[in-house]
Amino acid sequence: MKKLLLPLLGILPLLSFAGGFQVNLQGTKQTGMGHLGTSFHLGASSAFFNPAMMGLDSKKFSIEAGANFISSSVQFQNGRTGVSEFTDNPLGTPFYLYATYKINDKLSAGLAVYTPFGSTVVWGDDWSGKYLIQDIALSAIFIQPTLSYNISDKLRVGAGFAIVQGQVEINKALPLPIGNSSTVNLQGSATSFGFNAGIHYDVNDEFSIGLTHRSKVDVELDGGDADYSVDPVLASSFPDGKFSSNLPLPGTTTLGIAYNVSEKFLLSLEGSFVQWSDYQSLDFDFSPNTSSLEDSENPRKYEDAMIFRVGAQYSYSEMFDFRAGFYYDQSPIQDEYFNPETPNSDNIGLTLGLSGHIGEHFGFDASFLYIIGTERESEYQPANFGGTYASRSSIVGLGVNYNF
Amino acid sequence: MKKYKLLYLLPAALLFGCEPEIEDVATNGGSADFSVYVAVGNSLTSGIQGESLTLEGQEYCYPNIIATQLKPLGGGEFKQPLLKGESATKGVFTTFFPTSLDPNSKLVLPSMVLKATLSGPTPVFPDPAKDFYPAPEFFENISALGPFNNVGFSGARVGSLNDRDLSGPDPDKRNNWFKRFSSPGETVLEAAMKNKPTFFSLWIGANDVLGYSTSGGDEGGRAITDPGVFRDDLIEALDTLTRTGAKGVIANIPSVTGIAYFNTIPLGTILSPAQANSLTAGYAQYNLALRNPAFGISDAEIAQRTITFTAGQFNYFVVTDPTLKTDRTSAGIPNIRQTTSSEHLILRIPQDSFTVFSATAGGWGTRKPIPGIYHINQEELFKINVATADYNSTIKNAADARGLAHYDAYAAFNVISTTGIIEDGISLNGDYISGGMFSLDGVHPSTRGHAAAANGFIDAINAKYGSNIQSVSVSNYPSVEVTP
Repeated sequence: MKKLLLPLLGILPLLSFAGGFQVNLQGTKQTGMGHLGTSFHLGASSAFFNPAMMGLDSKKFSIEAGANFISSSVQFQNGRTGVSEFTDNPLGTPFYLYATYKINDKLSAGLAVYTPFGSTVVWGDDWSGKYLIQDIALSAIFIQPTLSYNISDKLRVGAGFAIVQGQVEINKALPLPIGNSSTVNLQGSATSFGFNAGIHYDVNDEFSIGLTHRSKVDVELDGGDADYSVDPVLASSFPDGKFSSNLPLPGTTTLGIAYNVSEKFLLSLEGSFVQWSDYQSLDFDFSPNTSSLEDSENPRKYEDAMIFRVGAQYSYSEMFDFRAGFYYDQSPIQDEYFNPETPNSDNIGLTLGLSGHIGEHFGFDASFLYIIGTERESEYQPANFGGTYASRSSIVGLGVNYNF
Repeated sequence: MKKYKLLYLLPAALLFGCEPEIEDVATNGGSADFSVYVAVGNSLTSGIQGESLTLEGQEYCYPNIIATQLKPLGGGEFKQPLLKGESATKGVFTTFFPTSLDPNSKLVLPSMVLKATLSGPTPVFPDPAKDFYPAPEFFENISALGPFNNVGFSGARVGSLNDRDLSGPDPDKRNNWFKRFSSPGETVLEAAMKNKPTFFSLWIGANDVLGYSTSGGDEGGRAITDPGVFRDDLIEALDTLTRTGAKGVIANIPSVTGIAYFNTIPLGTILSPAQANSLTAGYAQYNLALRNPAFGISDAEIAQRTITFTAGQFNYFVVTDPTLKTDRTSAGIPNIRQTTSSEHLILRIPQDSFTVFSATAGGWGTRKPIPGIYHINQEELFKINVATADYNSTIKNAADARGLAHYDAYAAFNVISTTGIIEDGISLNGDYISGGMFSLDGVHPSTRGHAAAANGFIDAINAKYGSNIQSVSVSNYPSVEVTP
């Protein structure tokens, strides 16, 4: 067997990133009422929710910061074996920071720092889908300088330019015909750009509407590190090297309407259109290539998705506001291309929120969000891997704001 | 969503955390009783991999995988004649045993392994000159530990199932694999029936053609079993196994020429101008002799036998073919020709003598014809295919007549060896070693191949008896490790 060749063609066809995991936790107040805030102003967080509204603050300076504590669990019941497996995700902590400043009656400036995309999924080193993904950590931090301009008393516009710092780390097992603990670790980061623009209009004292568009951001990973751990006899076929890839973060268009039922009671509805169809394929260009290590193309074939939200706020007193909300967040993933790297089914979000005001300048916010990832039977056809997925997440949000 | 009362969810989540709850799959045995499962068959059933029996191979054999999946449906203990002592880890190589070895010496060869060499991972056979090691425990009769649910053993043909001599006293007739775990004078079927099985699997017949084909069509004692005898023996076996009402599954014979053993060695090579010229000159006399009217060789046969070499192109190897129409060896004209794309060379061809093109060594296929025992020619292929088709229709008819589940291993293995399959992110195909389906001998399935076969059996059983035995995930089964 001198000439035993190992053309391990196609052993990396299934490398995968993230997608389908928009993180909708950009303001504790808004999260408490179904994460809507396109059509009514709730403080400096408008720099994210609708930049047009930054000038609506009564104070000159407004600062808002917060963090979320995500505890999530995904269950997978293997369609072949009937055996259930669970993710062991670490506590996720996305955060946000907003500051706005009224330059004059017409013009306001702001800075927003937020994390609208991210995913940490840990399935473990030895689960049945280990050849698709063992664990993935994806995050994208947006830093967005923003301006708004009041065209009239009723109509205002705003826009921000987003600098996006994206990073990803992936571990997965390699299904080599020789050796049993072959793995690859992929790590990369990239800086990309996008924008966030909005328009806001007060129809009358009761109704206002808002429309925003957050642009698509192409995260172009170039020069990421690909490190292999394989049996020494195969090491020459899997040299540690570099990879490049492109991960699109989809554009989102949101239309919201707010209705002040009374002075104390606000109702709002929103619909978002997320252009997930930009995420068709996740392709990896490896360098160097070997006969065992070829570039790989991995279909994702996401479809555009909608999010519907409804929320209410009740101003109980000078001191306290109470909020509640509900949303339905459609999964962009087709049943044939459902990869456990992003186990995202149609989500139902149920939220509660509370704000307190201490004195003239200071306020604090708290929210609780419970997400039901509805049960779905799906597979990733290119790997012939599938079963039933469901998830639950509990997210506690805490925020503070200071206005002067 | 009907299950959830939305209002309760928020406090419930706060109190109980957030684990989803997908309902467990309900177990259902259908119309079969899986409490006592017995596996009857050959080396595939016993768990031979890389022409060797090891404890690991026994644990990962398809019957043991099936038995594990039967447990939630009331399946009982599945007792196997497991190797003990040193032989459990070192393994016992089959080929030089038992024929060339005195059983009284209690020596065996260790299993073949995949070694790391400078040219990459290389399968290495044990060396009969120095690798024998004492394994007295392998020669102990362990029938007292039985009855065993797995009565498969290496070399079993359909005629072996009722052959009392296999466990008998005559060393020329007995089978040292079966003798190890059977009571003296017992047949395989008797050993199986001692369990009082409620369910059985039978996968037999490959040796009835494979024994012939793995030895390059050597008729000797390993001739293709007569189809009538095959049918009678199979029916007798099934009558015995179903006598007490057991249900079961029977698998047919995979296309033996689809295995890596027959499809790994290239059928030719590309030559340089100097090599091609030298070879053409070398065979000129032979080509001329074919055309001598005195020998009476037809034009068609002359065309078949004329040997040509073209520089820079793929040239088929020269082989010895004893089935050529006109035998003029007595006149000094050898029975040789170039092979064709539809024929096969076997994996066990001595590699050193094979591809080397030099004036002093090797030269098989170019300067010298490859001996017929390493070559499967058209006529042999035809016999193999006819016999396989015949046996498989016998197997299918017998299964249908008795209402037994039927696993079409022939079709399943064809898919694997032609297009390959992918399951849970692992691709399996018939390529030697890199394909992942076959073990190091290129004949027997690897551990993952056994898992895939077990899934095929399970699907067939579920389809027939309305049960819902869960399949296994190939991703939970290991691939071959490199021995340093």
